[in-house]
Amino acid sequence: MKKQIVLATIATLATTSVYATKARMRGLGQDGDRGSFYIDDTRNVFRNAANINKTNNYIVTEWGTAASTDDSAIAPSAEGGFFRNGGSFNYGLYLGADVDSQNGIRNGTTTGYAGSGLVVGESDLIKRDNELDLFFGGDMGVEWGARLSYANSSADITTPFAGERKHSSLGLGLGMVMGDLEAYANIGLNDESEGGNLAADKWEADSAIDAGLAYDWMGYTFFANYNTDGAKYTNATLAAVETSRTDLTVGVGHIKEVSSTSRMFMDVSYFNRKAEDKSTTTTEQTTSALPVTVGFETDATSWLTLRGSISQRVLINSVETKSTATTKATGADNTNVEAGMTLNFGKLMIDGVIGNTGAAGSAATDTETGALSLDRLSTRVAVHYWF
Amino acid sequence: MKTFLITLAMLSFTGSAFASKARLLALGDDKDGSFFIDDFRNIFLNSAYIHNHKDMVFLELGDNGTSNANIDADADQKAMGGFIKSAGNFVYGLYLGNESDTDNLLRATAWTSTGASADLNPVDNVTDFFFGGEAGDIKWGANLLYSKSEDEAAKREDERYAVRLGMLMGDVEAFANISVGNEASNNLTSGSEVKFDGSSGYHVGGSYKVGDFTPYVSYKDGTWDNINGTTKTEGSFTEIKVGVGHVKEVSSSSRIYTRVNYFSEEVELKYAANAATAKLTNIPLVIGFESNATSWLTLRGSVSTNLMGKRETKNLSAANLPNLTTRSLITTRYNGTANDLTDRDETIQNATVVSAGATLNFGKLSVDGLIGTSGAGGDASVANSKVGVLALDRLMTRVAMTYSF
Repeated sequence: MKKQIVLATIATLATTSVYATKARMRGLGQDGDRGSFYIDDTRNVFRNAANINKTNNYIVTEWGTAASTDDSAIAPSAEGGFFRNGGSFNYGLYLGADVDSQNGIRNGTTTGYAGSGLVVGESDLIKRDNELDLFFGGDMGVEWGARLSYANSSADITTPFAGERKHSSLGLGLGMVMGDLEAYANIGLNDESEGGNLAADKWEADSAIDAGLAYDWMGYTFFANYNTDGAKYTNATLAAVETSRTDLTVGVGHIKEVSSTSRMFMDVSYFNRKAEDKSTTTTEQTTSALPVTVGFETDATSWLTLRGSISQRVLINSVETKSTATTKATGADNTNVEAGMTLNFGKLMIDGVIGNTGAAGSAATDTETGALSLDRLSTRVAVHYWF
Repeated sequence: MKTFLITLAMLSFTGSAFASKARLLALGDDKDGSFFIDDFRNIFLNSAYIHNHKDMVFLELGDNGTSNANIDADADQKAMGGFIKSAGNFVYGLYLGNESDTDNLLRATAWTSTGASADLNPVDNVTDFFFGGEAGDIKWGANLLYSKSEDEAAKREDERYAVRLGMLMGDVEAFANISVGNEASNNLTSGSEVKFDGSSGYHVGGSYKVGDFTPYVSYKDGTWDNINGTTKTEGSFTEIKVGVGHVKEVSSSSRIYTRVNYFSEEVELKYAANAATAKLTNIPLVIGFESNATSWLTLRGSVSTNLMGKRETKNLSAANLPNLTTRSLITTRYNGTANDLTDRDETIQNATVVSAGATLNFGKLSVDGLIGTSGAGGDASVANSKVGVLALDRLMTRVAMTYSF
């Protein structure tokens, strides 16, 4: 009898904790792309590939547009994949991931990281598209995982120039989990787009690095993460322009398991970003912040899980910009509340973000006004099935 | 055993996570706290209320940007939230984003530009730290409010500090909320600094429960200087509330709230040429109810009107209120119509207001909101969005989530 109760409890825990989407991460105030430093979620596999050993045997689809330049709430990228346990090893295939693609910067819709308004790209460059991520991992006493990401596109054109536009990218991720310690490193080995408006136009990403450590101690997860990225755009007619950023995040997260179906999350971290935009002039921007996030997640009913979070920078919140002069400002309006839900149908779940369709009920403008619309109920919808 | 079970059931109702602006507004009360309705929002009136709402997480869904002109509104609520936790004999908590509409309204009186843009930073990214304990029969609470920002490029900076102290002792409640610092300045044009310089500010009050009746009194006072270069204009704000509330427990799952009080709010700006004054005086009567319609749905509503209501305004002129946004905010609040600069001494019209709200109960989680605010076309952003329509597409506004752990 005791065994049955234990098994039933484990099954319940397993069922309620198998969450797996950007919507969930955003609903809990975490990074929707690479997942959380301390909350279990399948998105974490993009941060630490060794997490493939923790969660597998599922298919996930994130609804969105195939034409997304930069993943956003109103135009999320269509992506998805499957992860499977293969005996001693685990493997997975993911299509269309948009992690740190810098497509917005590449195509000129987003400006440089230092806030100077510098455009480091152009719309004619082929973006990182149709990306393929292969995952592989195992457990040899130490859980390990590897990720290989690859994208390649080309187009033969006759106007505005006769020639070829092309793009290629390659990335590698390695991770390990050893008891309470985990470590990972993700490296962008190559990401280039050649041929824009002119044949000689070239966009090249810096060697991107996302590396970090996390250690669980007495129910608190201490984490540190180093992330750097950037790009250089060379135009045949104009001088080369560059943008870059280096982020350092150090913090601690805590999960309070209120019950088998409810949990509360809290994290505080120190975030520092050094960004630079370089053209004929150079703009440097340093951001220092101490964001605090509090969230919860609970099974409201057997078929509905609700979650929410609030985050805000506390005590430390400054942006220093150095261009022709040095100025300092406080980051304004960063009190952010997110809410999300999961519809549970046994092995099939539907996640989404709620409350951001505005008072007029339009999902076209990610508008948070405190309204709950039942016609435009949810955005960033994702469906995952566990087998 | 029966008594124990009944008490448990009542506690389940009273201890349920009723904790939002939407709930208080639906019951016809002030979203920043009630003197006689138990709600989490009361912690911003009397910080000792953290003892009544501990081990909870609170979220108010809304906007974190500036699109709502810095004033929290039904169709464009501000995002805020936090948690309160017990630790042995003590209670502590953190709340983020509770920006005061009064603070931002009064700061706007210092704006001098003739456009619609803000000349000064609003109160932003507010952090409230709470701590409380028990000393015998007295439950006490303290709250430190902190907000500070600067923009060197625009030569703006501002800070806001306040301390709120409160106590609950049986049927007696008392609080004293004191402004420690409230300044906002803009020095972009050298020699022509624009500044809101708070001199003093405090809000004191208390209540005493007598049976089902709760008489209460509160007094709020603030003075400041609006500085424009070498010109200094003194400003003052006074608010008085004296009233009585009544709660009738119809059953363990239903109650009726009634309130009548004297309310007076006056703002004066002592411009050299002619002082601008605005005063609202009324005696509202509010009747509200709240009931568990089903195990998963609580509905509430209220009707309020003025037994007496008067607005008096003088010299709300374009010269005294050059900024278009300030003019709109001040005239809407005190003259009833945006950009109406007429001197008024009249009865407050259209004072009969009905509000409604709902709570979806999921055990330890509850989702609150106002209902019936979606307009005839399902658009809650229009000016007159209460037209007697219950729209299921725009089901709720001012949505809040509360979770007990």
